[in-house]
Amino acid sequence: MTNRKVVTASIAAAITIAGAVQAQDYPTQSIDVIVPTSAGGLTDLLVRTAAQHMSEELGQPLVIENRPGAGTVVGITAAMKADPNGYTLVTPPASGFSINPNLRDLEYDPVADFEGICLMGGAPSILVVNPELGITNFEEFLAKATADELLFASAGPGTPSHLVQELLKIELDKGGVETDFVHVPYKGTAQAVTDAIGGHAQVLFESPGPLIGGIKAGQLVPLGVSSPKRLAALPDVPTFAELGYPGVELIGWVGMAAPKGTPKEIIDTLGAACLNATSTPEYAKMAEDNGLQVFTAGPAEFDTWIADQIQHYGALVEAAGLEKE
Amino acid sequence: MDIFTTLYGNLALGFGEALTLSNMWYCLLGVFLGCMVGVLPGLGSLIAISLLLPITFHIPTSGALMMLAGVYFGSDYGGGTSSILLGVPGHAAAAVDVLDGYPMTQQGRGGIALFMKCVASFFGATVGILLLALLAPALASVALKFGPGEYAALLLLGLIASATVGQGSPLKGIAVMLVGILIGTIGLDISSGLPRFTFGISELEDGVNLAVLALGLFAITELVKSCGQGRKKVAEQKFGLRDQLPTREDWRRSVGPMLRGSGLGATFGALPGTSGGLATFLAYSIEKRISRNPERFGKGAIEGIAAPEACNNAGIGGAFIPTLTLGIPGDPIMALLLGAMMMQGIVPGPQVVTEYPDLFWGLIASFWIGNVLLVILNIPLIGLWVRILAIPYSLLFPAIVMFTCIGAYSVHNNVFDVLVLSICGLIGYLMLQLRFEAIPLLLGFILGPSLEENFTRSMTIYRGDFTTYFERPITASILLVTLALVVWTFWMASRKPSRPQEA
Repeated sequence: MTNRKVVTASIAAAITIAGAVQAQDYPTQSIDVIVPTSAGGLTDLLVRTAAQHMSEELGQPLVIENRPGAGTVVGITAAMKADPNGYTLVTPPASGFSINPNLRDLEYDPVADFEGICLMGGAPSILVVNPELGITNFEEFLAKATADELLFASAGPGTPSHLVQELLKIELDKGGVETDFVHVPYKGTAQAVTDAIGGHAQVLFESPGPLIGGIKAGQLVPLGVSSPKRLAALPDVPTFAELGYPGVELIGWVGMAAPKGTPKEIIDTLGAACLNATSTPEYAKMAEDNGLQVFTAGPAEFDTWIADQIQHYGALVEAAGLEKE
Repeated sequence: MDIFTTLYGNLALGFGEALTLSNMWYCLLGVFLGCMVGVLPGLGSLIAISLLLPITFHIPTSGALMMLAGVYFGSDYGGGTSSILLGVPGHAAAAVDVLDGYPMTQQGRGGIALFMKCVASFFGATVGILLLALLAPALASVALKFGPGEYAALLLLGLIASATVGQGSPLKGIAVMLVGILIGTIGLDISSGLPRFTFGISELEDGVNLAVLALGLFAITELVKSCGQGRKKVAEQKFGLRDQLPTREDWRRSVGPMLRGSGLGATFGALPGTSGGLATFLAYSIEKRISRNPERFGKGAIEGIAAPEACNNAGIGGAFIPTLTLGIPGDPIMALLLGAMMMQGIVPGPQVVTEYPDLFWGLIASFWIGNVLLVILNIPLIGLWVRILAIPYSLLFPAIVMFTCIGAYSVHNNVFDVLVLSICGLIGYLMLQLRFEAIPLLLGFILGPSLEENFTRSMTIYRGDFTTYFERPITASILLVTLALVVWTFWMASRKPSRPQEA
C-alpha cells in the first residue's frame, strides 16, 4: 500500500515538476500554428511574416498549418480541442472570433475557450464604385444613392464585406439619407471585385488588399475608408469620420490565441515574441504595401478587444437580420 | 505590323529574363516536382505549391514565380498520366482522359495515348501562349465583359452540350448528372447564407470538395472493382520507345481535334469563372458530336485524348491572366501565386504588367520553356510510366488508395474529407454495379451549382427581369447557340431512329 502511495506521489510530483520545467524551458519543440484560412490570403501573409520572426526569437520553428473550412470555424474548433501546452496556437481573424459566434451555434466560445496572445493588425474596408457611375466623391455618391437603386456587391452573406455595407446603410439612415441598395452577394472576394471592375455590380465595400491594384489603375473609384486613420497606401482617400459619418467604423483584424488552460508564463513568452515580431520594419512594410494597418495588443488587452468586437459585430449581424435561428 | 513588333519586343524581353541559367533551373525544378506530384492521384499542385510557398521567401521573385507556375502546369500534365494508365484521374479536370485513355491502355496502347497527350498538350500550350502574348491586355478586358448573366448562359450551354458525354444510355446519363447537381447544392447557399443539406455538420458548409468527389468516384471505385474481380486482365503492354509512337492513322485523326481543342481552350481560359474542366469536357463532346463515327468514343478513340489535352493546356496560360493583370485569383492555386508575389513585395493588380514588364513577360516565356521541358522530360518517361502497369494490382492499388487519402486530407488538412472520400467511393461502386457512369455526375457537380449561383445573381442584377437575357448581346448569342444545339440534337436523333439504344 505505502509503496503504491509513494509511486503515485512521485509520479504526481514528477508531472508537476515536468509541467513547471516545461513552462520554464518553453519552447523545446516546434510550435503548430493553425491558420483557419487558405494559404496565400492576407491573414496568412501577416501570420507567416510574423511567425518567421517569432521562430528566430523563440529558437523553435513555428509551423503554419492552413485549416480553412466553414469560414474559419473548422480550424478554430480544432485549435480549441488541442492540448493547452503552448504547442498548438491559432490565428483567428475577426470573422471567426467576432462574427461567427453571433451568426450560429458554435462548439467554441472565443472568450471562454481561448487565451489571447496578441493582436497583430488588420485592415479597414474601402468603399469603391465603378468609374462608369461618374462619381468621384462621397457627396456625389449620396446624391446618386438617394436617386437610384444601386447594385451593392459583397463577398457573401455574413462576411465582413456584407456587414460593413449594413453598417453604412444604418448610419446613412440615422443621418436622414434614404438609400435603396440592392445587395448582390458573391462567393468570396475575387468574383465580387472582378464584377465591380467590370461594372456588373456598381458599389463594393471591401478590405483594401484586393482593391488597391484596381484603384491605382483607375478601374475603381475609392470614396472612403472605415478606419479612424487614413491608409498609408491610399493617403488621398478620406475616412468616414472626415466625411461626417464617424459611425462607419469597422476594422477587420487578426490575432493569435491559444486554447484555454495554457500556462500563463507561456502566454507571456509568446505575447512578448509576437509583439516584437509585429514591430519589425519588414512587418510594417509588408502590411503597408498591401493596405493593412499594424495595431497590436498584448495578451490581456487582446482579451478585452475580443469581447468588445463580439459586441460591435453582434449589433451589425442583428441589424442585417442574420441572427441565429 | 505594329502589334507584331510589340509582340516581338515583349517576347524578347520575356525570353531574355526566362532563359537565364538560374531561372531555367527553377522552371525545371518546378515542372519536375509538379509532374511527379501530379501523377500521384490526389496530390496536386495545391499541396505542392503550399509546401513550396515558404521557400519562395528566399528565392528571387521571377525565379520563385516561374517555379510555382512550373509546378502548376507540371502537375496538371501529370494528372492525365494516371487517368490514362490506371483509370484514376490525378485531379478532377483530368477525369476526361479516363474516357478514352483508359480503354486505350486496356487495348495495350497506353504508351501511344501518353505520347499523343504529350504532343497535344505541347501544341495546345504553344497556341495558348502565343495568343496570350498577342492579346494579354485585351483578354483581361474581355473577361470583364462576362458578368453573372453571361456566365449563367455559358454554363447552361456547357451543361447541355456535355449532357451526352458519357457512353451508355442518355437517360441514365442525365439522371446521374442531376444527382451531381444535387450533390453540388450541399453547403451554404450564396444568396441567403443559410446551410443546405449539411445536417449540422460544419465541415459540409463549404460543400463537397470537387477533388475529393472525383477521387472517390474513380480511385476508390476502381480499387473496389478490382478486388471483386480477383486478378485483373490488362492487355500485354510493350515497353520499347518505338512501341509508344502513334501510327500514321493516329496522327491523321488527331490533327483536327488538337486545333479545335486549342482554340476552345484559349478562349475559355481567359474567363476566370469557367475553371474546373468545363472547357475540356466541351472539347471532348464537340469531337464526339462532329465525328463520323461517334461510337468509337469511349472505347479508345485517340481524338478523345488529343482534343481535351490541347484544350486544357491552351487554357492554362489564360488562367494566369486575370490573376496577373487584375490581381484577382481565379482559384486557390492562383491565390497562392498571388500570395507569393505579395511576399516578394509586389502588389498585384493591372500595374504589374507595366511596372514589372520583365517579370510579367518572363513568366509568360517561362510557360513555354516549361512546356518544352515537359516534353523533354516526358517522352523518355513514357516507357517508365507504362511499366507501372507491370506492378501487381495487389501492391499498386493499396498504394494508390494511400495517396488518395493523403490527397483528400490535404485539401483542408482535415480527416473529414477522407470520410467523404470513402462515401463517394461507395456511391461510385454502387453506380458501377447499376451501370451508371461517373463522368456525368462529375459534370453536373461542376456546372450545376455555378449555374444556379450565377443565375440567381443575374436575376438580382437584372431586377428579376428574364428578358434582359435577350437584350444583352453576349447572353443572347450564347442562348441562341444553346437553342440551335438542342434543335440539332433532336434533328439528328430523328434522322437516325434505327440507332441502337440501351435502357
